[in-house]
Amino acid sequence: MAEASQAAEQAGIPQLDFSAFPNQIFWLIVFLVILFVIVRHLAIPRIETIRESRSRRIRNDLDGAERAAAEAGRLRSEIELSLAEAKAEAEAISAETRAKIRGSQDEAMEEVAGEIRRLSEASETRIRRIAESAGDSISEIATAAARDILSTLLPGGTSDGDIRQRVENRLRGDVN
Amino acid sequence: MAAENQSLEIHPMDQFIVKPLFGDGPLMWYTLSNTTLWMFLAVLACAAFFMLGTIRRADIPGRGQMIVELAYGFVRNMVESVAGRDALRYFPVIMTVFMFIAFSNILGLIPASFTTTSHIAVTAAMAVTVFLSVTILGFAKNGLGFLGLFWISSAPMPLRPVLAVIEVMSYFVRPVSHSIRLAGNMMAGHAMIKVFAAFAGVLGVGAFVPIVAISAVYALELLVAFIQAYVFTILTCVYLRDALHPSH
Repeated sequence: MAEASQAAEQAGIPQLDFSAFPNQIFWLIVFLVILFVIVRHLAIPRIETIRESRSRRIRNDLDGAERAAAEAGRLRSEIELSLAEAKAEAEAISAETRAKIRGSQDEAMEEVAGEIRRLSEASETRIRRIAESAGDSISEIATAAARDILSTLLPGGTSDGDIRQRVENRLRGDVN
Repeated sequence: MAAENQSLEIHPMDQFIVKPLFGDGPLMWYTLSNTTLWMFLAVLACAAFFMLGTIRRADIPGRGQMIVELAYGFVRNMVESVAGRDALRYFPVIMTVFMFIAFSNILGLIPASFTTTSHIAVTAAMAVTVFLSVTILGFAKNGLGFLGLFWISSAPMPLRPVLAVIEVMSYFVRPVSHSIRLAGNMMAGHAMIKVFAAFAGVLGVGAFVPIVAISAVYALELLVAFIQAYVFTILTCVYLRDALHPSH
């Protein structure tokens, strides 16, 4: 123990030099007070201002994001609504157009059918007329032929009126 | 060998001598000493750290501001989690203590500098201040209820008086361990580096061994510088908690 303290004295532990204590403690108090003032009145308010401004900014950004999300939702439902409206309108238009097309098609078909009917009627009339006139011609030709044959076989035998009467009777299927 | 022994004069403790900055006069309490200089530099470094770090007041911090905010958050969280929300009133004081010790310790690692926190006078002054403040605060806040700190109501009744004696003793030992822990850590590391450095001076080519050792110890000392500031601060917080909430 004595040896140790002697060694300590030789090595001289300056920490145990009590004459230096007042000096160290005095300056410690001075500088701690200065540092306290700096920390308390400069550093901490400054850091807290920074942190507050940051948290305010984060809060604002979050609020903004929330607002934007709500706005986006609103827009989406609006778009969906107008989309449905447009779809309904398009369906109505297409149905209308389909009906119109069908109507005009029917009209055209009817017109064509009418034309066909008209043309076929005209043709029938003409055919009938041709057939009738053909019937008249046959009796005339037959009469002329009969007259020529009779005049050749029996000159001055029978009158024209008689011949015509007989030919017409024959043509009608009246055999004497 | 003999010559080497002669030149091997190690004075590892000379770095701790408190002496006047100017002249060789007597060291009065007001004398500007190396303590004054290095405490001043520590305070200056702290102020620069805070002010330069936060100079841009940016919402998105740069490196400097990041470290300042980190230090702020570190100490603040420590006060809040150890001593409780109501202890945040004393946060500026604890922040001051932490910054002062941390910067003194780290500045002390600059070669040829002076480590103010390696002195019992300094650490004991701080520890006693903490001890007295916390004790006064404890009585002021809780009256005689503060003595409940020593009366362990969770222990069996016959044991309580014995435990109370032990508790009181440990309470009064607090400033001693609080101060010697810091000063001892600072002194030991610096003295060890100095011893190794003296070896390096006489070993010639073999000097690389102590130089490598110094580098390793230096890295360790950087860690210790921070850790001891942290330990001193967190113990202060623990004592503060006992003063604010003495019930066991």
